Amino acid sequence: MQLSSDFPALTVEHARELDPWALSTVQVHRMVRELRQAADPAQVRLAFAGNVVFDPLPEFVEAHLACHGMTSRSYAAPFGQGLQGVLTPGSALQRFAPNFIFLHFELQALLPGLLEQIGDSADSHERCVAEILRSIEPAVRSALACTEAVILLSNFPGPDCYELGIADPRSDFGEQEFFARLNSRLARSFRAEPRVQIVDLCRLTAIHGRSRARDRRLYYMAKLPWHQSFLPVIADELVRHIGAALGRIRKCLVLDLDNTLWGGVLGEDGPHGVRVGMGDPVSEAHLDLQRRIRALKRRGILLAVCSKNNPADVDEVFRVRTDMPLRREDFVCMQVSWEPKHEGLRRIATQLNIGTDSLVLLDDSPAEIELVRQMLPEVECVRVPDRPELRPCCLDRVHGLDRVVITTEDVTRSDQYRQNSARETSRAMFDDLRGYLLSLQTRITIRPLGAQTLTRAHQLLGKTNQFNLTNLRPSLGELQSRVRDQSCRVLAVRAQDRFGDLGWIGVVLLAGLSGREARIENFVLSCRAMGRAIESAVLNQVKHACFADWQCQSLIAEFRPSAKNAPVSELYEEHGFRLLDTDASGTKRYRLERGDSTATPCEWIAVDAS
Amino acid sequence: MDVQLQRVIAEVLGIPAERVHAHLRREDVTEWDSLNHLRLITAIESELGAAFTMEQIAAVSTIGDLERALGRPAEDGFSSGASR
Repeated sequence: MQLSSDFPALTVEHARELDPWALSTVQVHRMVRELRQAADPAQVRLAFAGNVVFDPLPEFVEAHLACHGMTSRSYAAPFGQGLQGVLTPGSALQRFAPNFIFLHFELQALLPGLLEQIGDSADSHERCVAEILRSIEPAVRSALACTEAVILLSNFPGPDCYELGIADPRSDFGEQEFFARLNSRLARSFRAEPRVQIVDLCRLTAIHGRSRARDRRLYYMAKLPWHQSFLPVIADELVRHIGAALGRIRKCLVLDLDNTLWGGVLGEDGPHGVRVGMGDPVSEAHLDLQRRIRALKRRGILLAVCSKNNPADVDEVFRVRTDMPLRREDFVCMQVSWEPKHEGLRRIATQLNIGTDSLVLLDDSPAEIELVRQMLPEVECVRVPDRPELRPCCLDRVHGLDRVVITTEDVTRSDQYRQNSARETSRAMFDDLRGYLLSLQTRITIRPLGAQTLTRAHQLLGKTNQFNLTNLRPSLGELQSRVRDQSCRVLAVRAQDRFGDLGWIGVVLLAGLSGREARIENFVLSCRAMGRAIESAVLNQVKHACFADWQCQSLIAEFRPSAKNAPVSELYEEHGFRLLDTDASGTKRYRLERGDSTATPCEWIAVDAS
Repeated sequence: MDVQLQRVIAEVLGIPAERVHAHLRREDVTEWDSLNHLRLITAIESELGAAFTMEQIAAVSTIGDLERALGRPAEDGFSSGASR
């Protein structure tokens, strides 16, 4: 069918360059119609279930996903069908095989009359919370059981007016307090379940305006809860959750200095003249921005500087401006020089051993950003807003800086990188590599995957690019299935040395252990742990497990080339595996017979594989 | 009729703009089911900055009713009783 030509044309290829927030309702509608015709395999299969009519939210989510470069299909469970019927083996939703399910419940419809009882007596809060959780948990559990999907579960915004009016906060059974308690209990109930993510609808409705977020007309008429203007807000949040769960994250935030970290130009205003701190409005805005940037470290995001300045001036400003929240030691990497920004960005990526597609650049100069976009289109560039009051929040829209969960490794990541530079310094003191490796006193621990390591292993498989032999990146659900499968083993590897704890840094996926032929389906190792033969110690252990513990006859392995894993293209050759064949795509298959298996020397590593 | 309104209707219902005129009735357009009706209403609201009441939404059974609900009189006297 011919589309009316007066609207600007939208095609799938264009979607990535579009700002999803700028799409009109009609554009979303048109875009999704075109996207649905494309035969691309869907990276995201998103199902919607609950007790409302979701349409047209799925369209908005699909459009937003496309703008973020993800292909998708969606399925909305029909309204009015009991949830137990929707989330069971053999149901249409299960056959759709979602990798994400958005679960949303309207309380009033879930438990009619319950909300009127919350102010009844001293124990009614607790009783109502328990009853609500009792009616939600089975739905979540059956969704977890019958699919491998990640469940995106929305929490409960309170009403826009309270029964007791302004006296609500004074009451022991007030509604504000009830909803706070309900949401905190909801979050806690699923905190230990890695496949449940809470979608904070409370925060979203608060930002948008609780009364503006709902469309009562549409709810009364058709059980559609949300106002049109709120759909992009939910869509954006769901896309954030989905992108983060799929490992589409940025690892390092690179900051410009002048008119970015502070107001003014260091070379002209001097270290005491640049505007950051208390005193004037622009300085306070930059103070807030610096605080927010510093907080990103707690998510495991690395901070770096790339600025055209004199290195001595920059050293001085960090020395004398102790009123700045950000200190010199918060940055894992400093590129201060007069060379083009993209050169500095490349150098930062190399130094941190990450890809340039893991970088976010915050800069005030449109010209610099334009040049970086041309030279390194994979770097996400954010321009510092002209209005100072908008600057502290300018990174909020970068999805790549969001994490589904913050692991111990994330919290200590900056320290890890600093330990690494200590290692580098120490290395310079040794003439031979072996002497250096011995001096590190590396100890590794290899354990079958458990509840404590599941999330971290998923994170590693999702984001490791260099040392990643096959790029097989199982979802959390698939990982859990592997753990349950008797013929599979997922091994997690942790490393420590005399400079510190590197945390859980490797994962091996083994399959076929109950048969004659075992397979290494993937092996990933964090780039922080490369270069000291930890991989040899791990493969020695894998060989031992397959041939001695499981009595397999042979071990099959594979190398699938990607844009980034060239450093490990010869890994199996180097560890005694025999190359069987190489196909047209460059995929190499290997076999190791039990009789040919030998351990690779790496006596500088102590292994604990109990 | 209003060109922008015509375009939004054609786009949301997925029908050629030429088909969109005041006399067109809901029962004549397969695509104009109850779900697409609400889509149409919310699309018109956000694209044209309008706001319909529940009564208006329920009463619309022709394009002409939509125009009248928007306060843009249909070009002929055809009426199906959209309540204001």
